[in-house]
Amino acid sequence: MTRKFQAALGAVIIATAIAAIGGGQGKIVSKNEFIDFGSFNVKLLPEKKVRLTMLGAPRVVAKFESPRLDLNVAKFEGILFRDAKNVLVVQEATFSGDVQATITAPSAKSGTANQTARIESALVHFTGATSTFTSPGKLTITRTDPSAGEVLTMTGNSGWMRTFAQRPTSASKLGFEAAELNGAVQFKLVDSLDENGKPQSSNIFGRANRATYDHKASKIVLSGNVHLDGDHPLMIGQIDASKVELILDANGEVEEIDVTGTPATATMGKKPPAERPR
Amino acid sequence: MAAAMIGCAPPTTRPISSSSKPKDDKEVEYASVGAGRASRFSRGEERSLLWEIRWESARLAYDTDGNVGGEMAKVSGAFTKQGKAASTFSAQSAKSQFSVNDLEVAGSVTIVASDPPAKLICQRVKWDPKLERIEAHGKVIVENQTLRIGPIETVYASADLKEVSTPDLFGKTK
Repeated sequence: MTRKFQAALGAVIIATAIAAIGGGQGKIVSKNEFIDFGSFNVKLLPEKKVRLTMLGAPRVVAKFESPRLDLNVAKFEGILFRDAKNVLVVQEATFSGDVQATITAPSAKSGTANQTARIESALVHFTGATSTFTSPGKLTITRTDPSAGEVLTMTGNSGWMRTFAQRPTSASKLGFEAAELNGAVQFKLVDSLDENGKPQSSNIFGRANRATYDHKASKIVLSGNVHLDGDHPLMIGQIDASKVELILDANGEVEEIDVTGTPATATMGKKPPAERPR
Repeated sequence: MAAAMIGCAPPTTRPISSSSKPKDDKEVEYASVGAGRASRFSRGEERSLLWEIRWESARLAYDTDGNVGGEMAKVSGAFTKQGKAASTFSAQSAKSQFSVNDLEVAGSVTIVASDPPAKLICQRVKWDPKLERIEAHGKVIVENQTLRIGPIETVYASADLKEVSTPDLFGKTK
């Protein structure tokens, strides 16, 4: 991750709470920016930066604009500044307490509709320089694209998700640039609409030791004791292998499944999915 | 113009208007004065500047020990950090007492710091020079180069406005 850009998380923020004495509720109001929170602390730093700490009452709610990030956390700690365009930039931040960080990007099938990718964890570190959310603990990444009828859910014992530095202006496959999950990975891909938008049942469920996604490579790679099940047209049945690659087409749909490693076994045939991780 | 070292010396102009005896039997005299200024210093050898104030009119009170307090109207002045002015303020009125070094400022209070630029607006302020802490109350709005915060009922701030916080987090973050 040697990217030169400084990811601009344009801010912010909605506040509706009215003040209350004793560290009570308040609001931040800036140009097109609002934050819901209970308490705050701002310290001015050199180079026109601030260190902002916010506690929720009970939640801190923030809405950033570039990339479009909706944040719902118990605690926010971060360093922020304004860029030349007066956009609030989050240089770095730590989110804690039932973190829900949701980014929005154009749908994989329609540049006018949106899809979302949400990372959920108890603790998430955000690094603006690389637009990366990192969780040292259990996390769930959920990508939802209503226009495509697709929901992808991946959980792991640790991992990260990297967003696009700038919001894509066209269809963006899974809506984020890269991700990696490690340890007891659970994988679930549900595609409820066919290419014509008609209802269908096309699912892939499974588990692995590790999962990665890379937008440029256009594939999801599952590795280590991979077990897949489902009724996806490409894999009706079960797969056990050390590595499985799900190759995605331009719309973010699985167009090819490559199975490698030893042992690699596949049991094909129509049958209902035997395993559906929750 | 009246000039006073509040808490340390009586004002130079004393149009005494009344006198009375408080509970401790010290003679207290009151003086209504025109525009003036005053500075409050800490006691002892160090004599560090705690705050400065200017007013357009005032009713000052001082006792036989030279302690001075009073109520001042249309005020401006400075809050200090380590004995040096760290921010300036303006307000409709201010109040100082004999026994404590705090300064209470009220009415369209505006506090401005310049390095880095920041501003705090509220309805009333208690300046605690011992803690070097501004306690701002009433529709507090804080502006700096990055954020505009408020309105909030109560905010604590350092004299230079480099730290601004709800009371529960003041001085408690890294």
